[in-house]
Amino acid sequence: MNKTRENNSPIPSKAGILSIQAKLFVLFSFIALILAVTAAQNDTRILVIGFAVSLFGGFIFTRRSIIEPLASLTRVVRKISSGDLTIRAEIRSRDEIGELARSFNTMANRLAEYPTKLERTVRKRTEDLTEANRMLGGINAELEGRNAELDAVAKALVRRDLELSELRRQQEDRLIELDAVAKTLVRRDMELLRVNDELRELDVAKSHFVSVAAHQLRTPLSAVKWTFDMLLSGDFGPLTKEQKDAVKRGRDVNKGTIRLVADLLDVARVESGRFPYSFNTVDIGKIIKEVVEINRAYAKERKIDIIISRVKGGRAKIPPTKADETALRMVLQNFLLNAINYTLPGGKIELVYKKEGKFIEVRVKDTGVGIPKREMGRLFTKFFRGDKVVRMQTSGTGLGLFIAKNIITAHNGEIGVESEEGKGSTFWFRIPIK
Amino acid sequence: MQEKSTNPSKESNAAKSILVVEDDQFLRDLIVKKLEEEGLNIIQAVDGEEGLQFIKENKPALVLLDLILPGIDGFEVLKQAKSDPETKDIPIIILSNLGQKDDIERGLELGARDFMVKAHFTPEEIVKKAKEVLG
Repeated sequence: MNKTRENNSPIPSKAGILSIQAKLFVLFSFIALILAVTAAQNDTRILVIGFAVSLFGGFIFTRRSIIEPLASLTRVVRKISSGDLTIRAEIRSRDEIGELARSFNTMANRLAEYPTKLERTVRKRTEDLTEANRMLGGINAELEGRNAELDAVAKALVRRDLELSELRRQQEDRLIELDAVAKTLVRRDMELLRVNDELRELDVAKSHFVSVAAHQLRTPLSAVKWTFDMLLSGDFGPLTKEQKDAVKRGRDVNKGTIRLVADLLDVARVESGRFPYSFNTVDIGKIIKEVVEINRAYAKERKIDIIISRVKGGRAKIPPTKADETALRMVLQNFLLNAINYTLPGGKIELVYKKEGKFIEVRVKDTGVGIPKREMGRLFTKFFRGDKVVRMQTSGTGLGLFIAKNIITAHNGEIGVESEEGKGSTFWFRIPIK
Repeated sequence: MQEKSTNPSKESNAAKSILVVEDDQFLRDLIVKKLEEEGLNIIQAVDGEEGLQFIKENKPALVLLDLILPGIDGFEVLKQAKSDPETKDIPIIILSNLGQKDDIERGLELGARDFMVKAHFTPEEIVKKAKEVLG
């Protein structure tokens, strides 16, 4: 480049230039010399020849130093004008024309340089733009990605919102349902309370009815009993043995009915809480003895032995305790009568009473038929009668043990049974010593 | 038999008579029959009012008194008889279908000589008890 710039320097050194002017001076000096020489000869021929040579020389000089370089330069200018910036003028001489060619070349170089620079700048700019564009494209892609993500998020949000509103709707429905259920429950509760009141009233009414009915039944039952009694004692004349037997059977049936009515009355009183308990100091041993004495004749009739064991396996005294004597008699009577009824002739009944910690315990043990396991749980329920018991055709009412349980419960005591089928049963109760 | 012949009239021998206060005719007939067989003189009343009236008028030697009666009940008859100085010494045996402890206690507290539950005694046992009280 440096070389080029040196070559194409716009300011040529004056020392290096052999100007056209000088050349022309030399030329004309040469011509004048020739002409002078020829003219001196005095020969016209020679003069003409000298003139011709000078003319020819002048023409050659003009052609070589001025016309050809100018023509060449003109061609170059034309080419550059048509866009070819690579072409350069041929520098043939160091004169003004050469200088002109050089200057022209310098200009052409500049011209050639210009588009390159421009191109470079444009390319650079284009590259920058492309780069920027590429970056923008990247950003755009990223933004598009983000946009898609945001879109997806937005869609998800919309979906979630729908789900949430659906959930909210479901919850609202559920709340309405719950409210309805709650209202129903409250209504049910009130209904139950009302039904309960009604049942309580019914229960009282039932107990009252049973009392009244029982009392109404007692009069005719007593009349029948007295009639049978008097028939048997001959008040209506003597009876044949057959007649007596028939009347006895009637009397026994009547007796069973009287007991049923008495039990029903007790049940009604126990259930309605009208059983007139009065707790006084009682002597259990004395009560047991008395109850046994009342039943001894019947037991003897059935060939059953009754034993009372005061204290089995100890000498601890049985202390007197607070209890309702009548009620305890009822329980003992029930235990003992059951034992007699369900023990086969020749059997044995043992009554044991003892102090057991803070309790007095009474056990009535028989060698009777025993109770099947499946019936044990229902023994103390109302109107329950065992299968075997029913088959034995005894006159029980199925109420005695129910009443007994109620009575012992009213004493804060416990009642129970231990039994083995075919070997016998032990009914027991224990009441706290007070 | 001797007593019967010496006391033919109920009215003339009130001291030896027995008043039966019973509203049920069947029962009344039975117990009256049984008592008469024993040669006792019987007066019958069908309700409490009549019973109280006969106690005051006849001053019987013994009263067999039912409790559940139309009108004045047996407890009231017992109370009034025992509160009248003229009749308070007449022995009264309650003969009733009621047999609950509280009824018995109430009857005895009011001054009854004894309390017999109809369904628990034969007529023979009742007559025996009556004769015991008469002495």
